[in-house]
Amino acid sequence: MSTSDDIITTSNGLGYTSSSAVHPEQLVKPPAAPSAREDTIEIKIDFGGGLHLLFSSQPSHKIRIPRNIPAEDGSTQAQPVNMRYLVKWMKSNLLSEREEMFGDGDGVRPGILVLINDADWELEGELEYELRDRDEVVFISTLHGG
Amino acid sequence: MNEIDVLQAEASSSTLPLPSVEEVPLSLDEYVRYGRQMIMPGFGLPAQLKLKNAKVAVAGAGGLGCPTLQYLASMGVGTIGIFDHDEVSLSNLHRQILHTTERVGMNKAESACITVSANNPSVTLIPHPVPITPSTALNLLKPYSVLVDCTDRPLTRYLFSDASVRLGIPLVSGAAISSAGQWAVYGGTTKAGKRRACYRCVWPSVLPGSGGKCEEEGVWAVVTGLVGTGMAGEVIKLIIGKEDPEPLLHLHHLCSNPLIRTIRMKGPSPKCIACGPDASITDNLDIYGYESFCAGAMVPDVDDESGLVDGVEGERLSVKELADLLNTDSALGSKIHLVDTRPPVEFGICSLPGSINIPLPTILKDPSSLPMSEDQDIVFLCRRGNDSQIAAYALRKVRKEGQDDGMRVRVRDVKGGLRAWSRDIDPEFPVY
Repeated sequence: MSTSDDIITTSNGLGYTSSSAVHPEQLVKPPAAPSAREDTIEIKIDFGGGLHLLFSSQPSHKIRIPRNIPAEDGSTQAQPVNMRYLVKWMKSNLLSEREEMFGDGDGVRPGILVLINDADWELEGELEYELRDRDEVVFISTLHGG
Repeated sequence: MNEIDVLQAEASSSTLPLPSVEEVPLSLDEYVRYGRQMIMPGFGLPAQLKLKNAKVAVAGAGGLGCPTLQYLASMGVGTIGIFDHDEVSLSNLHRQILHTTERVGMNKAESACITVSANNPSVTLIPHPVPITPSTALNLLKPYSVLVDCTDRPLTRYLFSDASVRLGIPLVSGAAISSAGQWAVYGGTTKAGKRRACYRCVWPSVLPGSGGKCEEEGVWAVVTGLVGTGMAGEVIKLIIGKEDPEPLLHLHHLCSNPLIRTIRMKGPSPKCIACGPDASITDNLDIYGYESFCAGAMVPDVDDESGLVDGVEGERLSVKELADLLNTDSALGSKIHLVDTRPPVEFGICSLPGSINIPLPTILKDPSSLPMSEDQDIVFLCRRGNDSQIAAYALRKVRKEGQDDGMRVRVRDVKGGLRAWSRDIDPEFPVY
């Protein structure tokens, strides 16, 4: 049977995150020191407004992606990964439903709000924003109930 | 005699009139009533007078509207228009705390007025028991200086946003469902003269299926309470000039930490069709087509008789026919499998004896996993007759496409579901 926690946290997951209340140890944020592996960075991804349904119904993900965009033409010019790379990465590695439910061109479909470290991503450069270790990216859609 | 002595002497003398209300900005009772907020630094008499002169329109006297209205009135907002054409129902009362058991069936705007004016008879409440439509919105909302959207569907949200843009006034818009909620101030200009993004700038289109209703998905009363209270706070801050200098969007989830996540919102979108430089929405809101714009958001309402899917004659059962089937078959289960497709939590609230619970998503994932045998028909049942029909359709489809196991299994669904069962067969069966 479900526990009282389940009632809240798994109802239909319409929140942007629910993991911290269940795992209070996560409330203590580790210092923003470089990750152990220098060639990758850690990104926290949260989904709200029901968008987790597109990502295996998991509201919160911690992923590791390369620190620099892997060069395709053998060039050695190191370019840090940006949101364009992350969205593409999510489509091929995280998305469990059809691509058009989430993506629109290089970006995300209108109606999905993207937040980078608690700011609308338009304030941060949208697709060109260069991700740093332990950045937090949240995808939410609007709610209508009342 | 000093000044105070003079006043006291005048007050105790019946021949000399007291200063009239026009000369004293608040009534003596109001000084007492609002004293606990007026003495806060930065609040004072000026803020109280701004509240007294403010005219606020609140659309929706439901889960969000109740806490919003309660605080707007108790804190002294002078004129409040309350728009709601819906009636109080018993299933509202767990969260819509201004209404009472006695007033089930009464218009919500009227009911909210009764409770709110009992708290504060000195504010003017104007109940509007009529819907706000694209053709009436601007006229109905023109007298107000702040709009508050406490409604529960995309259509009114976009209509209110567009109306606030046309009227040049700020919109406080909030939403809550399940254990999550959000609210923000949209539109209008900040004190520094900066234009805020309108609701359409931030949410330019409606995601399919995003129009979840509390009736279907459930909602925590405390979540609507918290969001509505937050919205009232935004309205008060706007009126007394203590608004956030940078527009913020607040996201709440009952189990998150922090409980409310506040994010910085972007500015107005230059592409916005309501407030951008090339805006196509004009004062003639009636021609915009809100219905079609929002069409994708809502799961279609289903008619009990016709249903979601084209059903072949004889594939749908009425509750009466189901009752007959269960009666003639005293050992229920030997001739039919009665499969209840509701979520397990709802099956746990109430179910028909002998029915088994296989939730719709499980059936859709693998319809062939259903119990099946030569001499047993399958009858699908759900809350209102929609999901059961989808389940029946899915099962018929896989059986049609191959899977020729030689078995002839009749697949049917029950029209109107358990609601109809309670209405027509067993009034003692709970409706929730």
